[in-house]
Amino acid sequence: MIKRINPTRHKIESSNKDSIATWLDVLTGMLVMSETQRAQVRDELEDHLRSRVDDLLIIGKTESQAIQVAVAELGETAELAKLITHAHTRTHSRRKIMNASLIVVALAGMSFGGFTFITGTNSPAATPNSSGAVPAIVIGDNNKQDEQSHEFNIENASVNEILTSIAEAFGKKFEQSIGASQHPLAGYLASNIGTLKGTYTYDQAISKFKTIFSEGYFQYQIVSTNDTILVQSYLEYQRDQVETRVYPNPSWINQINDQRSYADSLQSLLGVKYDLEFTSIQIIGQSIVVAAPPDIHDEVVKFRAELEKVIGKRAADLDLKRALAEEEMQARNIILEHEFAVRTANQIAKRADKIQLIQIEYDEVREQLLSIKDQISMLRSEAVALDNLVNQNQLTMDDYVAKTTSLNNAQEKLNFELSEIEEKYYYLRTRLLESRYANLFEGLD
Amino acid sequence: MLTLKQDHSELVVLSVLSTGPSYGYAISKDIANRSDGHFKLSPSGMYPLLTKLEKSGLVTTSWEEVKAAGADPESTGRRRKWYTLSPKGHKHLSRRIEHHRQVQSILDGFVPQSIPDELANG
Repeated sequence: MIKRINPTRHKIESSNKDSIATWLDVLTGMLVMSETQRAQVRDELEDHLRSRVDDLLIIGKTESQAIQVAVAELGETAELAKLITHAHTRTHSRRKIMNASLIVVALAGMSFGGFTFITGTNSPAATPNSSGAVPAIVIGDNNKQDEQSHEFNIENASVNEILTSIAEAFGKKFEQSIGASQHPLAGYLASNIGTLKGTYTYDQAISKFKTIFSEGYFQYQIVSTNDTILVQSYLEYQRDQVETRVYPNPSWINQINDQRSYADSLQSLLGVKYDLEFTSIQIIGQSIVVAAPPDIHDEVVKFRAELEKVIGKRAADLDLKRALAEEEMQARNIILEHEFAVRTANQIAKRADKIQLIQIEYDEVREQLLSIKDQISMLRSEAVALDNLVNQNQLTMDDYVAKTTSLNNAQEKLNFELSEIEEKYYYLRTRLLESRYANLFEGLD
Repeated sequence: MLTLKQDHSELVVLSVLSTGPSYGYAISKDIANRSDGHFKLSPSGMYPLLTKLEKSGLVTTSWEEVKAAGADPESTGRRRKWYTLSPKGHKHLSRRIEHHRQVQSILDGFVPQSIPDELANG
């Protein structure tokens, strides 16, 4: 049997603060919601953690291990706090417009003289409302009650009383934050007088209230949750809204000076539109860390996206130009390579022709050289034959002298020709070798 | 272990609550047990979801005082938040189940009864 109890501030079972309580302190400190909601979230998570720890102890973990595992399973504390806060917080602008059928029901309810009709199990008994607000109809579904209409007939009451009446009519508690109660705002709430008459949904009632007690003039903010109307001073509201986010350095920033200048520029630009009292922009490592209310973060994200787009486009243009230049250079290189190949081929052809000519000339000279050497050899043989004829007395001395002289003259002439032709021969041979292997010598010069 | 997506989480949590009131930790255990440990709904997914369900009126909540075994009877126990499917939640769940069946039936029309050989071998 479940024992139902009224939601009250929970007391931790263990007398001393343990690590679960410490963790819960940290988490609840990050929650942006009313004290009541914060306490309820804490209670629920504590129940989760202690139930989990009990199970882990059963399977043999030590207490510290069990707590460590249970807390780790809840995930990153800041993220969990953010998700829970987000789930609990609703702003006026997001509220749905009252369903037309409910208006009909609400108007029908009003005709019964300001008594509450109860269809749910958790709602209070049917009672006329003494605060001036007359709930026309309350359905058991608490979350829809903001969309019901209630008639208000409050005249010349303090704005504090008006807000309390609105809260009561919609089943909520009215709370002032610590900051608001210490702020002159508490005095304004108590001393300003207003009138609220008519039938309104929650959103309409709050809007009407704001026409009586100006948010801008009195510097306050109403934060609505499921069961609470919380009034905060505007500065407190701003401070509560502050989130710290880490943005990576833009891709094009490499130098610390550029990073500093980027952060300064960001701050200056934001300062044109926003009051930066609750904004801090810092450079930490390779990141820009911004602590600011969400609307400023939205602006930072937009600014970064625009900047990335512009710089990204410029980079893309540069890449395109670079690619075109590269293509052009490649095309030029292909042409140059082709021209070089043609030139080389021509040079090789020319060289071949030249070698061919030298070769022909060389062959001719070589033939001449061999011919002269043959002729000299024949003359030498003739001289030997003459010597033999003289020795055998078959030739007179006069004839011998005459023939020998003639042979010597002829040989002398041939020797002269031989020396010339040899010179030419060696010259051509050298040229031929040089031309044929010219490519081998080119690099040696 | 499969982590439930938000859309499936809602269906699963409402289905768990359709069998009776439960609380956060028990819901997460129930999901793990009923899926043979295949599904996991992390606390960071579950508690915001339960808040959303509560705010949408799909579940109602109540509190119970829980005391550890052997605790001093005079001491204050810890508080447990119970979730119960509301009539609106029942209707919503019926619609979700119907929608789920329709989607499943349409998908079955595409998916072969057995895995074709070319897929099985491939």
